Amino acid sequence: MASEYRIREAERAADRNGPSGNNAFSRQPAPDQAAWVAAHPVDAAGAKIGMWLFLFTELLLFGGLFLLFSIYFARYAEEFRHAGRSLDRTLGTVNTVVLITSSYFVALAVTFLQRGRPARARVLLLCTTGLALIFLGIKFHEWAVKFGHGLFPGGTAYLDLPPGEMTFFNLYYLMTGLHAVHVIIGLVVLLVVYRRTGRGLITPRRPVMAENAGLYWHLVDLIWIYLFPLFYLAL
Amino acid sequence: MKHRLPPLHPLRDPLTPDWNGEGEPGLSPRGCGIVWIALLLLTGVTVQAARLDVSNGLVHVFIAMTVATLKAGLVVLWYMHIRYEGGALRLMVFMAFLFLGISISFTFFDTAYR
Repeated sequence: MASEYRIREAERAADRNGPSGNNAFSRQPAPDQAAWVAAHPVDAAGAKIGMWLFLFTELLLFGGLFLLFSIYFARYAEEFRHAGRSLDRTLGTVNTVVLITSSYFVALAVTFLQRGRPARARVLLLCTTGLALIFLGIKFHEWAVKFGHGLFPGGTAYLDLPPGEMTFFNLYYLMTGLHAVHVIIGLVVLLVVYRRTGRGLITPRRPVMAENAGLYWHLVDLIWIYLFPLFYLAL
Repeated sequence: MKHRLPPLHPLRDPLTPDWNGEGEPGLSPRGCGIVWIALLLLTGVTVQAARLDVSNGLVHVFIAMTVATLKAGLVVLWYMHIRYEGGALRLMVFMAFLFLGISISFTFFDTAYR
């Protein structure tokens, strides 16, 4: 498409010339996009508070599960420790590094977007989605190994587990599964931001959707920061 | 329907040709990198601390949760820009995390020492 080609050309010019070059900011949305932008005014402060309110409901969702974890951990400390040792600590650590790095890329993408470098922000968003796929791949592998050993709800080995260890694995599948769903949603949201930034609908002057997508992604990272030591480090 | 974006100071406006990002408030690319390194170091700390041999298992819980909360603080304050937000949003977020922390930690200590 001609307009897409023009935008890509402008992005290349933007990255060639740097933030002080004239071309960096000459990328205007196409006429129909300009109309769209005009018809969709952004209340940045309201949007951000709304996003945080949504994130609070996410905290409630996961907070309830963390509450459950703390109660059962206090009751079955020894069984939780034993079951936690059967998880692959190396893969868990690698996944932590992957997710932290993806958060770094998103923070960097938002910073570059705010400072007038949307093309660079888009590259970083793509890197983030790549890291998210790596995270999901490792997670899938971990689950697949456990399933192979019959360690899944209803599996043969699962039903023979002592009650405390079964509770551990119930919580493990529930919490890491719910977290993985959030990673998938965040992945899609970041791709939408990638596309909208490319079409000139998210710009350095209207970055709030990218900022809010970043907030969501950081929350996903935040939840993993607690999931990792609780499940993988056999406290 | 006409919509006008609020005017920016020319030097703060990323769309002016001579804007170069200098002195822009908010998180800088350098700041992102420093926080990233700090998060990686803290991950290393928590993994190593879990290998320590301690008599009371609760010491592990305490260290791991302290490090996790430090990491969470870095993410919320810098990556989620709470450092750079206004007082209302800061208060909202602080209270939300405070009450979440109280409900989870008090429940844990209540059931652990019953």
